[in-house]
Amino acid sequence: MLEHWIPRLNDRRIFGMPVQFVTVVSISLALTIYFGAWAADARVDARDAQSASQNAQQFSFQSATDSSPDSGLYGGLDKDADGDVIASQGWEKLFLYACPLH
Amino acid sequence: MAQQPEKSQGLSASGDGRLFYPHYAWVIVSVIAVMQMVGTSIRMAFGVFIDPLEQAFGWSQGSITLVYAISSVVTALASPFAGWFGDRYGARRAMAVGTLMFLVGMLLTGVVSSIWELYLYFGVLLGVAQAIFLVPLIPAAMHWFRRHLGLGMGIIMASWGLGPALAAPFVSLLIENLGWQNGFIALGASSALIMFILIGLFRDRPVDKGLQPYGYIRGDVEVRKRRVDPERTKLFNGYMRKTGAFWNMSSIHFFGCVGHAIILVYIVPLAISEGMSLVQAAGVLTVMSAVSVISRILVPIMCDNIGAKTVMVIFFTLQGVMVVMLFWTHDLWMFYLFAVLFGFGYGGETGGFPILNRRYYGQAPTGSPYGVQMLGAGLGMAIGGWIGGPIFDIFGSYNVAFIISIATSLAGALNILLLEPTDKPLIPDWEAQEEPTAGVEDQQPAPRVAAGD
Repeated sequence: MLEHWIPRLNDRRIFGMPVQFVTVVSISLALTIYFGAWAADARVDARDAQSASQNAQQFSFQSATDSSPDSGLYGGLDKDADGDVIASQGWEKLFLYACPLH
Repeated sequence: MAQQPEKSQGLSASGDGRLFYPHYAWVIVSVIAVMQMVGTSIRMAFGVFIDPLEQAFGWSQGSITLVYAISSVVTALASPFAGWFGDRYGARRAMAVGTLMFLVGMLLTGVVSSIWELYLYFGVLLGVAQAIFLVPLIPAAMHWFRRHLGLGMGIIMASWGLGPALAAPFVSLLIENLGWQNGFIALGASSALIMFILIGLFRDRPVDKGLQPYGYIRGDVEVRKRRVDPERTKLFNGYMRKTGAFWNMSSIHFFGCVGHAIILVYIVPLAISEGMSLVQAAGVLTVMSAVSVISRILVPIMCDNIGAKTVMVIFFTLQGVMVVMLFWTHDLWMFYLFAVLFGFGYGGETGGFPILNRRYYGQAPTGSPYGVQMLGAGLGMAIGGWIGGPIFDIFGSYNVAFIISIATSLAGALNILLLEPTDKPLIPDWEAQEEPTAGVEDQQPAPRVAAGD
């Protein structure tokens, strides 16, 4: 059975490469981009939620003059830090740009 | 006019069918094994440098670990070029060029003051250097074995398992005593010195020492040419690219590496989340590496004797199936049991590729296909090592990452089944097209074939 199909499979070419190889590359690339964009989406949502929560706290307990003007879109949350803060990372933008589904 | 064959000298020229006998091939195997360990030590122990760099410059861990990813991807992308370079100019020259780049990269890394310098020197320069001096080694070792290639490869593969175990404590000791900057410089200088000494002992082909390859039996086609004709190599590379195996072995290596990279990177955080201490969790990884040494030695020998495709399917399947255990693993003893069982499968993932190359391409230079296979492996390690993090961000557990690990290992096994049979070479016989030797014109070169595939 396999002996019959293997030569046929290896003879079929796309851009000079076997269809088996092209299939593996295409599916792996698509899944990597999809999962990467999904993760980026989840991180952006979580960061927005954290940012909203922190802004609410700042609004309640601090005067407006205490806020630093260069604290960034997420009130500084996009900077790396220890603890629960989800830092903004370059790969997020890359995957969100590449994935048509996110 | 046929060149007179050089008289064999020194160590035995013919094993007369024996499995083990003294031969310069063992010096080559030892050189390659030590080169692999020394050359990869810095990458294997990179984690040790993270804290010192963070303290010295205040860089985030994410920015520092990005250099590791850059280095892995650059090595992967440079691998096909490195394989071609080794075939074209010889592994010895490739090793010399790579070692020189390694030395420069290490010295420059020792004096970095900004993150982009770290990316450039450690990520790019050392990434290319590692490809150039590591990729041509395995194809070069293949020239030294006419038979019993599995035995030689087993010893070389074992060094891949020992390297990580030895590198981290040694590099930690260096940093503790010298600081990270001097640590980089000392490690770069001493590694380069060791590698240059080893290059002095290295020879591209047995004929450079007046020998025939290991396992040569009187009546085999004699290898007499010291230089490989570049045009002929180019022609044979063209034949190789037309085979499905040339491409598919790369995707198989990719699958195998995604499968074990996920486990290697995320087993420690998983064990810690289950209540293990850092030392106990790190112990799981150590046991895994130690057990993998056994299958790294055994698998190439088994491939040689049982059949490369059969053995590889078994070990890819073993690597995948064992991950199922992690869904029910909560206790320390279960983690260690997993480490033993998975380590055995994981260690056997790599060892079959050189044997497959020999079966498919015979005695032809295999730097190019091996380079393309290492491209697949490198990308697999990079993606596998990375994907668990995003998966954890989405699902809050590693279970989906483990499912991906299982699926990729089994997909690798399936792809191996779909490779061409190994009972005959896929390209014209390299040796049969050599200039005939006086006395051996009527010898029909017949590469040994594996049973079972």
